Order: sequence, then structure tokens, then C-alpha cells
Amino acid sequence: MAEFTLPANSKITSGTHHKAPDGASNVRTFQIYRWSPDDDANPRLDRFDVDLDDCGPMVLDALIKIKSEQDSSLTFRRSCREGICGSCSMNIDGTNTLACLKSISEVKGEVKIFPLPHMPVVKDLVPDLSNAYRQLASIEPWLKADEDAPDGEERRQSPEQREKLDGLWECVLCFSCSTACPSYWWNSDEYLGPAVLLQAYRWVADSRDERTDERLDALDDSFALYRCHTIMNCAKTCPKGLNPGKAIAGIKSEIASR
Amino acid sequence: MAEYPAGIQHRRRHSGLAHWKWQRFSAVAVLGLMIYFTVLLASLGGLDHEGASGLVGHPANAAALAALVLIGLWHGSLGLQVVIEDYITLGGGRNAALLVMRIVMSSVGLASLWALTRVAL
Repeated sequence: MAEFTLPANSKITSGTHHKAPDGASNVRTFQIYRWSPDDDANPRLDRFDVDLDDCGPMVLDALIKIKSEQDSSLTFRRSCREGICGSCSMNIDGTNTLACLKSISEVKGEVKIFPLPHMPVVKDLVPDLSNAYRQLASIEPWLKADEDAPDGEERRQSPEQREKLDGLWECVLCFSCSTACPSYWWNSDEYLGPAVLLQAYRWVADSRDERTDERLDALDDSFALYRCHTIMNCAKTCPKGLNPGKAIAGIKSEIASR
Repeated sequence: MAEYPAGIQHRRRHSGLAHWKWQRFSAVAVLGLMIYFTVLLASLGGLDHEGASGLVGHPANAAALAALVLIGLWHGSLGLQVVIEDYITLGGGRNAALLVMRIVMSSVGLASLWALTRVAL
């Protein structure tokens, strides 16, 4: 049956406004989505005034400052703070990105921060990525070869073969792309999504992998792969500047040319 | 490969390659036939009913129009299939919606062919 009302606890209310300390001269306000599974309350948007003269330049710096100084219950993932671990992906100013790579100065007005869209929320800015990780595991993202590498040597590639992995190996699995993809919003139970398909192509394109056909057989499914309608939100939002849409086209092309 | 790809165990797997290829082939064919159709339509302007029926009923024109109807509807049904599969879940009546869509498209095709045959014969 069609649903004409939002599910319980999905309407966002306005929350607490945490004022800047006295004497702060360069204040920016951060609106941050808050929700806790520990009570029955609706999600809310808390507002935090931050003195940018006493804060690092990135959105993640502000989040850490807020957590340290204003509200220790604010929950978000972070680790490397330099765009390598992919932990701090979230929706900032309407775009999925990494908080550690997003400069506060890029955002006009109040900085609005939400968790990655269309994923279940664990708490505040932490999405539940279990389904995405399960899908990643399903493409078996590791090198498969029948014979061991020669003793003490690596598996050799020509510069041309290695070049085919550029634009693929850089992915940090932040899932900004998958959670920006409308097709993934509609069919994330069946469609693998841009992040996982880019990873799948990373192994299809690898000259050292010997199971290319097996991988392509597994990917040739009307939902797992062909739900990509080249909307290209993935490429637009990727904080690393990658193009998952091109990788998906690469898989389709490999399948079609067999 | 075990449980590969995740998330589709609840339905039968089927290849998406044929659908993907035919969508493109039929698009190119429809494009060519639409140009032919536009030229044909323009040339009907000055004709009376008998002349227009004769032009449309000419075997070459009737065959091209039949091809346009069939390939166009086929292309349309491939596209509608994607829309239905995108928006209607398996448990929400996806297969029933696909069946209804195909019946409607087939009916339109049959009615169009019947009309063309009546003009041509």
C-alpha cells in the first residue's frame, strides 16, 4: 500500500543553539543533524556557533572542536583527517563529501551537515553501511590467480597495464557516490551501486587477475549492474575526483565485447 | 562465487546485456524510421483522402510504418520496463505491472497493425 505520511521519527525538528564564547569575532554557525537511538525523540538540527579564528580550516576541524568544547555527545566517524581513510563521509552543504577535505570557506552562510542520504542512521552523522560492505565483500575485491607469484618477486605489470588502474585504486570507499545515486536509493537491495562497481572494475581491469570472465559473469545481472542510468551524481560528488560512472561503462563494455 | 553479488538471492538472476543492447539498437532504428515518417507526413499535406490512403498504403510505406510501430513500441516497452523495475519493488507488484504494461503495448501494436493493414489492402 502507498504511504501518504512520513514514518515515525522522520520529521526533523529544530534543536539547541549553542552560542559562541564571549569575545569570538569570526563566528560561523554549523547546523548539524542529531538523532539518537536511545530515546524516542525525532531527529533535530542543532546549531553550533564556532569561532573560526580558533579553529582549523576544514569542516572536520570544526566538528572535532564542537565535540571537544561544546557537546561531547556529537557522534561522527573520523580517522586520518587527510582524505585517505574515507571515514568522515557525510552530506555537507547539500553534497556528499569527506569532512576532512571540505574547506569551511567553500560554504556560503550556515554550514549544514547531515549523514549520508538514504542510509539507516546509527547515531547523529553515523550511517549504517552494513549493506554496502556486504555488497563490497560479494564482489571479492582481491587478486585471484591460479599460480603463486614467483618466489620473492611481485607480479609484474607493464606501465600501460598499470595505467588502467589509475582512477580506480584511489577510491577510499567513503560511499559518497553510492549514497548520492538515485538508482541506489531506489534499489540498494539489488543494485551494487557506484562505489562497489568501481571496485569490481578495479579487479576486472587488473592484468594480474585471472578470473576476469568469472567476475564479468557475476556482474552481468539486470539489477546488480544495469540499474546504472548514467545519472552521474557519483562522479559529481566524489571527493577524490573519480568517475565511477566511467568504471561502470567499462564493465558494460567488457561484457558486451566478450 | 559465494553469494555473488549480494542482495539478489531472493530472485532469479538474469543477464542485463540483451536488454541494454536492444535498447540502443532499437533507439537507432526508431530514429531513422522517425525521419522517414516525418518526411512521409509532410508529403501528405496536399493530398486528399484517397491520395493519402494510397501513399500510406503503398507496400514500402506500409512496411516502414509497421516497422516504426513495432520497433517503437518495443523500444517503449523496454524503457517502461526500466521505469517499473526502478520504482516498483518485487513485493509491491513489479511482475504484475510488467505484465499489464506488456499487454497494453501489445494491444496498441496489434491495433496499429490492423489499421495499417486496412489502409494498405
